[in-house]
Amino acid sequence: MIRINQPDYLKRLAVTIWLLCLLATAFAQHPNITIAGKVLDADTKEPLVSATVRLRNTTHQVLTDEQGGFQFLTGQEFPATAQISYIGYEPQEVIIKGSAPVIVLLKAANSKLSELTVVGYTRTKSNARTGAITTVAASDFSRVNSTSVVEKLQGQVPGLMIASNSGVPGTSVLVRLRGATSITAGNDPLYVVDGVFINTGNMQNLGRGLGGQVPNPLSDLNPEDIASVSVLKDANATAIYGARGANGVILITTKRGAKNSRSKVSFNAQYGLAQSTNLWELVTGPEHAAIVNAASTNDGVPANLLPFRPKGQAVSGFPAYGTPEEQPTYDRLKDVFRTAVSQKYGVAVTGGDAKTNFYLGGDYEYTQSTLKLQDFKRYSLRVNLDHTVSNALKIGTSNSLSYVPRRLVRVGDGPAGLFQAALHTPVFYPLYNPDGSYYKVGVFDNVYAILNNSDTYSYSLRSLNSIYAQLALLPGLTFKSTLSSDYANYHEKAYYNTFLVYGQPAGEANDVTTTKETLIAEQLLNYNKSFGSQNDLSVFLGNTAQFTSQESAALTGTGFPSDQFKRITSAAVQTASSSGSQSRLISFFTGANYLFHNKYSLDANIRADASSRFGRDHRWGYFPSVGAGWTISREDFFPKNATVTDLKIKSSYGLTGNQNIDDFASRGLWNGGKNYLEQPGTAPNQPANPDLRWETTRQFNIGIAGSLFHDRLSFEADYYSKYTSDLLLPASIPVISGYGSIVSNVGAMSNKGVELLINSTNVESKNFSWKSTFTISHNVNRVEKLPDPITDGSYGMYRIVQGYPIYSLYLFNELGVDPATGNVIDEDVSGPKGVPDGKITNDDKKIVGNIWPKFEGTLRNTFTYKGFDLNVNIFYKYGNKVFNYTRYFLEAGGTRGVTRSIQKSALNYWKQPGDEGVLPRPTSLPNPDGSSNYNGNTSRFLEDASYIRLRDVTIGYTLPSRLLSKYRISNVNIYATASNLFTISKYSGPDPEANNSGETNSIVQGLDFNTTPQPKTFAVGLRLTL
Amino acid sequence: MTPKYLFVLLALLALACNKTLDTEPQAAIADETAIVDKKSAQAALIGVYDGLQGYASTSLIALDLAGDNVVNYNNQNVVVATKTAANTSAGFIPIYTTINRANFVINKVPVLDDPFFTTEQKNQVLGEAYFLRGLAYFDLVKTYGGVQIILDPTKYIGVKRSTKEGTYAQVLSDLDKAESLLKETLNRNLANRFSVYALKARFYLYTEQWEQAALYAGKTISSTTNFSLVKPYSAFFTGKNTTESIFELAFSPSDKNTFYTNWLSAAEGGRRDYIPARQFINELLDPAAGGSRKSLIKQLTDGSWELIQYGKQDGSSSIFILRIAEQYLIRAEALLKKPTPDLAGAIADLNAIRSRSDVTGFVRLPETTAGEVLLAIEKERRYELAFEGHRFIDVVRTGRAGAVFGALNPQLKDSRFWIFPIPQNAVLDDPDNLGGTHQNPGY
Repeated sequence: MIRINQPDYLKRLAVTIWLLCLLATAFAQHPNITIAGKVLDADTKEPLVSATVRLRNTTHQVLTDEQGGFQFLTGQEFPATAQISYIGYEPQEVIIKGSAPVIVLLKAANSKLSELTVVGYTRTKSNARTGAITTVAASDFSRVNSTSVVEKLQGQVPGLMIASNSGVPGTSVLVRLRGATSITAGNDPLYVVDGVFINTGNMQNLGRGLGGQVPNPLSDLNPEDIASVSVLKDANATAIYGARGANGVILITTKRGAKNSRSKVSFNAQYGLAQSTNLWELVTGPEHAAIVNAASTNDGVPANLLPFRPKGQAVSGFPAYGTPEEQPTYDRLKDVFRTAVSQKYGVAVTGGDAKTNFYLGGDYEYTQSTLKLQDFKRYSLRVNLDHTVSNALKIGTSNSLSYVPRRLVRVGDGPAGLFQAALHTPVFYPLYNPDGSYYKVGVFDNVYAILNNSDTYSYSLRSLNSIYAQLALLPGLTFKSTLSSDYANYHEKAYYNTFLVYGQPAGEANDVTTTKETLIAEQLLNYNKSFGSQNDLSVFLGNTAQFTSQESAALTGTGFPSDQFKRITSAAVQTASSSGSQSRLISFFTGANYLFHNKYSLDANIRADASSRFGRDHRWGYFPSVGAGWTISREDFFPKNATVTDLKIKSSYGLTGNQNIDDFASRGLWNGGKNYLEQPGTAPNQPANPDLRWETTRQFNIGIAGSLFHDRLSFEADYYSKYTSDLLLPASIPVISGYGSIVSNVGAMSNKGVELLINSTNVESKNFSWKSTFTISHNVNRVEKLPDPITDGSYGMYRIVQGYPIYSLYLFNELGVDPATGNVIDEDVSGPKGVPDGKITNDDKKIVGNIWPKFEGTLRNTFTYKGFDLNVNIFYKYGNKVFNYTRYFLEAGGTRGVTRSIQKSALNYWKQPGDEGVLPRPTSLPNPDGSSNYNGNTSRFLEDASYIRLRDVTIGYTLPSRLLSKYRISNVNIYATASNLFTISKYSGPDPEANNSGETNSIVQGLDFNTTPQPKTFAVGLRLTL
Repeated sequence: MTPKYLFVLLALLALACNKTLDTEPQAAIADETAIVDKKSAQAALIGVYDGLQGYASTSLIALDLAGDNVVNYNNQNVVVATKTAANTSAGFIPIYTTINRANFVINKVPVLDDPFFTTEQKNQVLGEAYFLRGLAYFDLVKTYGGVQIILDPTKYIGVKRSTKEGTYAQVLSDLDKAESLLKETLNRNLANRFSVYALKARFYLYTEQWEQAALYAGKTISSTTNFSLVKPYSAFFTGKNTTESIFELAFSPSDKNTFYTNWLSAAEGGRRDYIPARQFINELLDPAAGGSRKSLIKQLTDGSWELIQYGKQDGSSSIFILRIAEQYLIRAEALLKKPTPDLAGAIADLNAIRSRSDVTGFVRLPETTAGEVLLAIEKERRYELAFEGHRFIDVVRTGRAGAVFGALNPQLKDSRFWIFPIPQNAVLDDPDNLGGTHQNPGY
């Protein structure tokens, strides 16, 4: 045990007090009296350390000690009036009549607006804050069965849009806070776990990819360890995160032990099953043949050359597949989905004595995907510890270590995907050849070849660590020094044997390891001072230095002696590549908050960030913000009534930045690997842009918060307006330069929106309670300035155009089908001369919609009756669109012939004049006006994906404690929970939430292409606390 | 620790900042350090070849789809593709990437101060770079007509298109420099003076300087120890660096040519995007036309045919930029077109190609005209250089595209469509110089 001397100032303080007392005695001519007592929390009876005790009409005060005790001499006489105050508690006056020690019970400030909040760097009273911050406690997380905490926040935080990209556990989640502020520099919020800025970027580098499926790095964190999540939304809250705050900040706080608390051991176990329903319905073999023959006939193919005609009529170049009637039907889809099992077990131990508190948590999770060949496992361990060395020094640490092995498969988007094999392979083809080998169709893999031979795994090893020391320098002034690190290692292994397309001709193996390391040193000074019980000053000043590096090594082997050899060492051709990059960020920040008369608060912050990613003269960025708040309900003129208990308005304005671009984007760069004849070659690949600077977002926020009916109903509403300028974009330069583009600051984007959160306690009685939470948010995104439209490279349907939102679709606007001819009617928008020309050409495409919802939110109801609790969480989203790319392939009216399967809905096509409400006449030939009946880039496949979903419903029962106490068990809760039980939507695909663009920063979002739908899950669980 | 020391500490940290922020890339190097000595100059030259690897098959297939030898697998009834600015690209962008790389070498090497980099070695590097740049501009001008000429890697804003003649002049200037800098050392995978001869022969043929064309073609044909027609025909593409090759762009399993995936069936690891046109297959299979060149294609179990010239599944198939067979056909054509046609010489060259492929020789009758022989040469080029990007240009440059392709696609009846459109994305990136009236007429 290290012995630390009592800091000098305490001695000085004691001397001062003693002198003051002496003086007081001299002037007052009163005998000295001793006042002593203890300050405790009224509810928990825990001592309150460093509470302020002062006597009315005197100037001196003392702070309570570790046990909450205080004692001092005064020249006053009994009865004396002591004023006791403590941040986060209602101040209290006590009349002390004698020298017997008094017990002062301070009540936690029951007004929600004066709760103490520690958010990021700041420590202020809740009613002093002026920013828009929503905190969700673990008890309020959605009970949905998810691998990361993010899914559990869906709908809970107004303004935070969350959508799972697929139903596969552990895959990426699209998160957008108050819209999107950037085109290419990233729109993911900044995640900070216990003060550590963590990497949330995609680390997947597997050469063959997974067909749009990307792992979610946040799944490395065990949601059970998390105590609360705070979402910082407006400029005042996020400006202090400067260059990375533009997309909002999500602060994740993990659980810590409480001081002076009994050690508690809690276990939880959950077992669940999941099933994907509402899957695609395909045609039968004869139906497939009939529609293909119909399309061929319409294309002018003579009857003796139709694809489906007697096999004997085969002609070179015109194969015959047999008559429609003799076509068999094979259901491949049924064999790729399964009832998936999930198991979760966790144990946590918390506790603390007067000086030390701790949290130990561990979990094991195994969740299968309903799509076969994929599963998610997590082993995690967390240790959080705080120790008070002396009154002045406190130290602590937060650590988490997790290991996440995943089994994976390429799902789609590319010939070798499982969905291509299972869903897109026409149903009439046999599964096996007569000799028992896999029957292969076109470029697709055979589905059973994949099911039996897929061999792709990834292993994520993640370590998040931080240690801090906090020194009390003077009353109210603390210095905190934190060192933290985030180490992430993602190892991918894949082997494609000769039964698979990628394994041609003699097997291929890939082995890729990617590591990302972040080291952060942070120094922080905090000063809090109360002037009386009504005025509070909070100041902070700090500095961080962050070093980030990324390394990756990829090995590939091809040419294996046989399918038994899987390691690259056995491969005939072995190639390797490694790469690395690093960036640095240095920041200084400061801020002050002043609360005057408990009514008016003023906030000002500034952060200066310097990033190595920018040109030498543009490295520093300055991000100031100001905010003001007014608690109207505390004004004298405000009628004291029971209806409006609290009312506050607040507003803020400030700047934030975004620097999420390539590490050396401003430099002119040459790459190696441009080889020829096995000689190393180099080539320029990026022109220099020394003027490159930050993307800057300015945001205005105004909000109102309050509580009504004795806090039975509380609400918070915000309006915001964000404007992002200097968008970091790969700007076009003449292709004759030899470069594709140059990263530049071009363009601007805006987001405006409103958010509302309502919490209400509808019924509160001894045995029964009913509480509700309702959220709704609305955001309008608009690209304000963009010289040249940007079209996505993979699909060509997504286009960013000035005046429209990002994630807009650029398509032919389909008006219907002409009942007379069966031909599609596309809107004639324009022509070569800029006016409609009666022809349908590329000039007639236009922006027909975007993926943004008009509004979304949640309605959560919690009921308790004695030991029972019922939690019903409904999520809704309205006005959003999804491009159903799967349907584009499966509803091609027979024009894809024998290469793709056909879904049932394709059969409802135009057959004779007068047919209405049908798909167009099947043909691959263009119509007289140039339009195509089955073109992909049409609004036909852009569907309304509004939905209401019973996101989760949980019923639990807590056993009466009198039954448990003799077994030394303090709490047992058993529960059953179901997720995604039903969904109401007009969307024609299996899941309106589908999004194939796993890459969360891609400009392609809201694309359903072979996406595993969110399964319905059912789980039972047990929580037991000793 | 007191606050005073803390501020000192913060101040020190601030001073340390600018140094801390100076990070250097690892996977890439900065512009200034790219070409500084012999080794880095040679690496940059290798990068130019890599650029050619990057565009060779793109350019080749676009030209062949525009002609009547190759069709898209999914659209087999369209024999001659319709070209539009939005849908047609023949390597315009990657060709300029290659030119940019060559420009860096050509601009930086002469001023390098490296005592170990001899003048002779510099000449070698520069000569190869000039050859590759000349080839790149040649590939541009034959496809698009006159283009923007970039000779300095930093000057690319506001450059106007040159005329076709101006662009050909640039090609010749580069080839003249290459000819003077390079030596007659044989290396079939790298540029040398022989490759310059062969490319110049093509240049003079295209620019209708017949005497020169015949002269330059003769330079490689007469170098019989180095270059000769191999037999059987398939040997030049099943093997590697045979005497057939003058400039063979090599690939290997670690530096793959993925062109095979465009041709081979799925069972062989391909995607089969392209397939020889049905009518053309019949001609290749005809012993009197294709002869042993039927070995370019292979029949699959379903009865369809696929091209195997680029069919090495390990990605090691070469692209044949210049081979001796073309030189024979260049000389044959030039001999016929020069002011005093040499029918005997031309027919001898033509029959050298025919007999190699076991096709009966062209028999000269008293009434045989130069025109008839020219038509025979056109056919022979179609079979001999079937999938090497020649067919479209050959028919266009002789002015016969309207007659030959127009029947298959009416667009080609209009001679404005005998060159390719500048691709839409290139126009969008430089609308002032490529858009509007600067686009090729008709598109």
